[in-house]
Amino acid sequence: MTARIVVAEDEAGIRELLVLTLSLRGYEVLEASAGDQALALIKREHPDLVLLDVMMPGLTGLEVARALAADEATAGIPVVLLSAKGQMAEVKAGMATGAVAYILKPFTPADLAVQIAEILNERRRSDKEL
Amino acid sequence: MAAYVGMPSLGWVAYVEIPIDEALASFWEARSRLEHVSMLVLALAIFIGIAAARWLIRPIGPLRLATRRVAAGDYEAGPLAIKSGDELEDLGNDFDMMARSLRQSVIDLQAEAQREEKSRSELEAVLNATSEAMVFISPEGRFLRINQQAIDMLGLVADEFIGRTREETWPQTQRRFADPEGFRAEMEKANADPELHFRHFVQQIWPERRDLELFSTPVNASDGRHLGRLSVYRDVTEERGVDRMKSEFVALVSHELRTPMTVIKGYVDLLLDGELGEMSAQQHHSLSIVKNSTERLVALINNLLDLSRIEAGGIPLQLEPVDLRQTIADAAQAFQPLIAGKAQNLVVDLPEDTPLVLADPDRVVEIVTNLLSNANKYTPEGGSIWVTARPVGALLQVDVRDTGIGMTSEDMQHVFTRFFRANNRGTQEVSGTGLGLAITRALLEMLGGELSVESTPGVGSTFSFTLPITLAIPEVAAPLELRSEPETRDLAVVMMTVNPGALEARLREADGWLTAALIRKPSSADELARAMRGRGLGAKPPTEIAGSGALPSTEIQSP
Repeated sequence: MTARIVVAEDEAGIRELLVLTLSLRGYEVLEASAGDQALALIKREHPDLVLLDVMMPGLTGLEVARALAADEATAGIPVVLLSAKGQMAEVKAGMATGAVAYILKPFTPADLAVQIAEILNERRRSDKEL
Repeated sequence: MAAYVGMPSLGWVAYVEIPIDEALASFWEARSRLEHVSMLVLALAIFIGIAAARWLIRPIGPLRLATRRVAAGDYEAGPLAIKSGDELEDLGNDFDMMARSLRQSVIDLQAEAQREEKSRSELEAVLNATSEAMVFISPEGRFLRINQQAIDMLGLVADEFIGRTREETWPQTQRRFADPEGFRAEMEKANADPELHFRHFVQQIWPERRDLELFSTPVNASDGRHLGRLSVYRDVTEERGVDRMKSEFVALVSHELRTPMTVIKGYVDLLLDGELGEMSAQQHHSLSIVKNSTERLVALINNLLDLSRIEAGGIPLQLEPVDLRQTIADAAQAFQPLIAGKAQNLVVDLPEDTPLVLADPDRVVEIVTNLLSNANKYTPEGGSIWVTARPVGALLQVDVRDTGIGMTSEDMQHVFTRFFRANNRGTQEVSGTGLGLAITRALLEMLGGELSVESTPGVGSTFSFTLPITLAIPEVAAPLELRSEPETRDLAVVMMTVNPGALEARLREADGWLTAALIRKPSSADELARAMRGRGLGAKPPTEIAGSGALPSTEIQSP
């Protein structure tokens, strides 16, 4: 089954790069360009993974992540944060929302894809065990 | 009256008798005449005597008057000019001379006093015209002098302070500063050591909010006598504001730059990985050059961001005793490929008894890596690089020496400036962001160390850095958290270093980072609490002591 990923990023150039990278690897990618839009999309579509930019209009990536964790229906969806802010405190604040990974910009698309594949694999394994 | 005389040869006596009046008549006459003459002479003598006395005394009168006038402070009396032709005239002349020289002395003294008054009022005017607030305190701690700026800026009222001791005026001082206990601790340290010069940042909260830079320095007379301590307060609110703005600007720009960099780097990577289709060798080569430049640009942005963060004091420090032998060996190991690539010879020679330093190991790796990277870049193929270390007082000095292209003394002045690269032929072939040394220095300053350089063009350079030596106490092997993370906010930090002053001051500057910094290992919780209070580090009891193995743990309780 093809994994479905929601990509939320307000910068069109980066969003397109993410969509391209993930589509090339066979994932089904759903796009959002603002936080509130992303939250609505995720609640409707229940994707296998969410890739959230931290600095977004509407809701920030952190706010979306917190909202997802707070809702039982979406709490199980793994969240990967993407940010240009790499200070220890910023990373810690990001991880404190319950995100599973924090990827710094600029990133190497291949590395990002590997990370996402690993998270999905792990999720699939633990789902099977359950 | 009768008279007789015997004449034995004749056997006769001659006898004569005459009346007494007749006999004495001539005598009486002579006596009378003599009396008259005597009277006359006496009268004459008295007359002459009086005249002579009058004549003699006459000049003494003016002399007496003049003496009185001089005694009364009137030096303007003209000369007496006594012309008696004797000792009195001499006396008069001497008196005139004395009066003249007295008059001159008085004139000189008045001129001196005027000059002194003038220079004193000039000095006072200068002190009052400076933009710094100045407070001069006697060795006993009494306020001797405050200038106008101290009155205006610090809101000091002269009557409340002058002549009073620091202790007496403490209530007034206290409300002026955000961290009065810290201020007091600093002052007490200075009191204990009259020779101490120090610089300290204080936050003023009353009557206005200001960032102040305090320079405190002993004042000694030319004969070495200790006169007191001068504290100079400079308003640095604006400078600090500008610094903050600059750092924020750099951070903002760096973040903004990251977005387009992410796009460029991402697509270049996709293309080079062949994910978007195969490319010709020429296309691949061209895109590789784009990738290299992109990576350099990313490094530059990261460095800029690092530097602005360090300068803004926003880099978290994990202080712990660091074994440089291990750290430097690790950093050197990572460098081996680059060293081998230029057939260079890297010798790391740190003696076995190299003391531990108190530092952040990650930052030390960064520092050593930066210096090794420079040595590697600027040393020609086949050259040598040595890393050595030796204790210098309370610091450990590490030297990174190379046989590189070296620098002129002019270059050396700018070498720590951002984006500076020595202007000689060799450097044209070398790539770099030009920020490495600026970052290295900023990191070292944050750690209480220093970076310096010695160099000879064509011979090589030696970059040296120092870090405070720490006592090797196994109990504090655990990392000491110095961040204001919520979970560690109330963490008391025990620092064991033999160079506490510099580090503590630096940490205090980083305001809000840490709750406590201790200098010696406290033997009990009480001592810890006392020491914390003494340093103005808040009355909150520590919830946890990092590396507290040596402390009676039962006495330290979480609130």
